[in-house]
Amino acid sequence: MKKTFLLFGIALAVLAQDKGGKGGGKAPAGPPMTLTTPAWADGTDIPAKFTQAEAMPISPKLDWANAPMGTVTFVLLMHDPDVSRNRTLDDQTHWIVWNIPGSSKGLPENVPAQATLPDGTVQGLNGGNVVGYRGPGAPANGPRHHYTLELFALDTKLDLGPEKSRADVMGALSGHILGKAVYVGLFHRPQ
Amino acid sequence: MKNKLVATGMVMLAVTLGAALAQDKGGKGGGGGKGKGPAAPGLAISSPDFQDGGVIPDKFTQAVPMPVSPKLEWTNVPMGTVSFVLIMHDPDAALGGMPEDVLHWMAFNIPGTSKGLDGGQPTTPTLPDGTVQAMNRGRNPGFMGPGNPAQNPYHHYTFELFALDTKLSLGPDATRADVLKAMEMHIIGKGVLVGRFKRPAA
Repeated sequence: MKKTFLLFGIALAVLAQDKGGKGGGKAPAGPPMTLTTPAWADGTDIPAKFTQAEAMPISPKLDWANAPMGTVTFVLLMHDPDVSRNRTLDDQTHWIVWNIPGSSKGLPENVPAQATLPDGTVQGLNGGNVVGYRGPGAPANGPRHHYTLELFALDTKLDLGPEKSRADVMGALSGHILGKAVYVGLFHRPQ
Repeated sequence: MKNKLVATGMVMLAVTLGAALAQDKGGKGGGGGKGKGPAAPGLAISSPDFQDGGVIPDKFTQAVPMPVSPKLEWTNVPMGTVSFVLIMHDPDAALGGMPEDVLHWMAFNIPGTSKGLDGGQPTTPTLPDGTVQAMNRGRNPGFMGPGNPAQNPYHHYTFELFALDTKLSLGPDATRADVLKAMEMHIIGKGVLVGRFKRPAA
């Protein structure tokens, strides 16, 4: 009898993960977390003002909703998976932000390029070795790249200063992800 | 003889430098260099079955009982490509609180001469041309259709195509971690295609 319950529990957990894997494969939580921007529709072209098509690209306004119960902080990663750096699996980091307060509902447009923000948010170095947001810059002659914004809701605050790397952050959030949401924008430079 | 060796060394150095510069610029490996004239256009992957960034039609998804894989096409293959790796995954999922996401399809040792994959690939561990299809998250070889539930936001099914300068000495029992490890330092080009999906409301 006990064994049956155990098996049933395992089956449920596996199903929950296969179904969408939002969180630890435990009982279904509330409505799923969402990440959006008013700047472009999901899966479509990113407007020039947020890209290296402009001299001073600014970060887009981001909104999120339905953070899981118990969210302490958020991590935001923006990366370009179309890139393979030096023949490795490393892609291009455009923005890595952590310790965004769990009570927040998004980020305003044009976040200043500072390592720490007044609310405790930390911005690491992007692939250009600069703090904060790096606008998309895929070359005009190639296909559009797929700038992928990934929002992680965590059950903890990360004990990592602004000198830490994307790899440090990804390592530290292992086992702490309560929810995840993704949004994609496409871009290559105008001809 | 010695001159020939030196010349070979110089060529190798130049190639290495060129590749390193190209990667900094946009990373579509194997292209030209920064400030050295136009880089070659990066590896491009597309499907006639859905628009890049658009919604994947139901026939390729778990909205139907027997989803088939979409037709895939690629161009701008880098010189020296020996084989391709195709990885389709769903980054919207975080499994067990970890950064690991859901693997929908992993094929490797796709011949370097290929221009794509036909639709409806058989779900066998090996194909006649030497292509190997490892296990997906559902513990089956080959393609697993998107299955994101209707109440979720769209998930972003990401097809990543890697051009390699080598073939992988791995069989169909290889895990995703095995394949990723074996690919390191052999990636000479990369292209991505994204399709979105959630199940139709019941």
